[in-house]
Amino acid sequence: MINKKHTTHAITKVMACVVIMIVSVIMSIAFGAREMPLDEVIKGIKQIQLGTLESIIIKTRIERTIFAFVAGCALSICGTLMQVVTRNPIADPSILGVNNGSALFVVIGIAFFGITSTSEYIFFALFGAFATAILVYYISTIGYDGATPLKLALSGVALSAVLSSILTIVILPSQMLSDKYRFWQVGSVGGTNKEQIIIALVVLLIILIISIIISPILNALSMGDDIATSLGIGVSAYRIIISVCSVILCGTITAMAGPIGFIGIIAPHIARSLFGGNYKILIPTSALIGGIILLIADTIGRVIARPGELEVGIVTAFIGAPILILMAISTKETSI
Amino acid sequence: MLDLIIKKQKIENRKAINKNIILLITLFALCFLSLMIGNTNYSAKTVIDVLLGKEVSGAGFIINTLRLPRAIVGMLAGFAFGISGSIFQRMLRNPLASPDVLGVSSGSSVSAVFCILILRQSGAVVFIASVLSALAVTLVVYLLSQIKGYTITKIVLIGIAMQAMLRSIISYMQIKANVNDLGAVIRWLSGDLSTVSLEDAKILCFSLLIILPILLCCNNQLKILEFGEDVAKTLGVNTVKARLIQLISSVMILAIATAITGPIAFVSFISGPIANKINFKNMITAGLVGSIIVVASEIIGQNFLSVKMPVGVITGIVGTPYLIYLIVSQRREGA
Repeated sequence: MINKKHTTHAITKVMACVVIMIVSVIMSIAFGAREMPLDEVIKGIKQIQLGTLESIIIKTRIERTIFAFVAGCALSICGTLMQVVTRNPIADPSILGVNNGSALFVVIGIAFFGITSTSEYIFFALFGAFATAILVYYISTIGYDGATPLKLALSGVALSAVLSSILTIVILPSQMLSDKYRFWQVGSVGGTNKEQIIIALVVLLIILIISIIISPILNALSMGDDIATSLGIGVSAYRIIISVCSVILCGTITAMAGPIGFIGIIAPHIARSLFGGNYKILIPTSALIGGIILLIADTIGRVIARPGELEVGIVTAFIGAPILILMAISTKETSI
Repeated sequence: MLDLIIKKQKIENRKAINKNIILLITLFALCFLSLMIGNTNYSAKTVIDVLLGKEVSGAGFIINTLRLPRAIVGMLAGFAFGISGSIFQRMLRNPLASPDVLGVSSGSSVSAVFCILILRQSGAVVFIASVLSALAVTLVVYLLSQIKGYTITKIVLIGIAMQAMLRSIISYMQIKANVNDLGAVIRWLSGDLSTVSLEDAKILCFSLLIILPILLCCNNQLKILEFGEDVAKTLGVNTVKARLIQLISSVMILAIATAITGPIAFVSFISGPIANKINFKNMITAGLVGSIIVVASEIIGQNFLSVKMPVGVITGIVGTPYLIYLIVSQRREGA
């Protein structure tokens, strides 16, 4: 009885999220440097093959909207998975310094290996993300009481500082690189092409499916290593698989959009408070919420800084930081 | 018995002073070295001649105008970073709670970058703006961490969140900036001594002379605060007032130094812990260690790399292994 009521509640909430998503998609297409009334939007969609002004705007905006949504989904799944592995609700690529790792390796790739294509960017970003994630986690586990949230966060900060020192060494001698890097470093969902969107979408779908399949294991792992082991789960093997999945997601998106922070903290946090802690539901819902947040953030960024734009990475930092502060204030020490 | 304790204390004090003198001599030796070597190397005699005011053709300009301000500002800024870092760490009772982590440095960077890039101002405006915004950020972080009970995890997380927000503002200003200013800003943001003048050295020296006595006077209160809130209260210390004075004065010297050199990475982070190994909880030692780190890194950055690197890049890389060691060896009681 209670269960049934619970399910209907959950369905209502999911429906609400979907409605919000549709609204935010429409807003993302209609608003921008130039506002478009609904009839112009429809006209643009109808004439999409003709190449009129409206259709070009609509086309770029649709691409951007899709990519923003995909990136939001990917980053929030990435955050959720990282939080399972580290058992720590503040784990996020931006906090753990994984973004900086990707950044450094992409810059090194541009500077020393002359990379230009998307796949090369992704390769270098993934490599950097892996190296950093492993290093940060390893540093935070050695010592007296394992990977406490404090140590995890501090290791991330420390390693980010080092990475940015090395990055400065690489970019400082060349104005071309510093110029390229400053645009990449803020995190923006504009300027992606169709090929990139398809790659991102495929990666997202594969890892989404994997995460949903292994969601019972995620549930067990989140109860603690001891319980998971007693349920017959190979804890360390799954930890590695989950970490690999989350780093692939984050590295791919970072390679295309630059570092976008905090989505991985905000979305799972909201999803957890709406839908509870079952990962089978949590993974898809936090993906949905993450996509919505990034879409709205991107739309806000385009509207408030007209005719230019405020890059989405800046908007998410401004939304995410207060939420992180609220989480820090309201949760007890033991639970973070 | 009491005599014995006092006697022992005196011996300890003398030892501490001796060690500080050794550090000071090392520091001066390094400064002297930094005056000697560079693109052209000068003999010790030439440097002494120039410093004594004799006319030496060529060497006079390079040493007096180019190298001397760097050495002096590096020394003073390192001192400021070291002292304020060690005060933060002692006051918050955690070796990891340095102004870098708590967002104070980012706070002063934001307004300094704003002044440099957007307003195209320098000098007094930058100082005032950066001191004010550093104070504001510190205050906000500190007050937020007091809500529902202060814990170190809380203040660090809030600091990190603030830092993320401030960093994003800095990146935004970088995007909007003219590409020709970019190098200067990147240099400044990583902590650089290449543009400082003797004027800067004067300002820094003056503010240290004002703030240092205040900090030294509060040293005893700080020692008591380290025993914890309750102990300090029973011993009759007004903890809120004591903490506020310490916080404000250490943020001020930090912000002034940051306004001149940019946030030199990790100096405030690692000076305190290193100094504790030399002289346990001695403010002056922490400052001297900070100075030595900055001056030594400046020598490395200017002479031993193919491209001249800002000093903060060197301190960032040199400081890292030690920082990781600190994180790894952190004990439960500090957390």
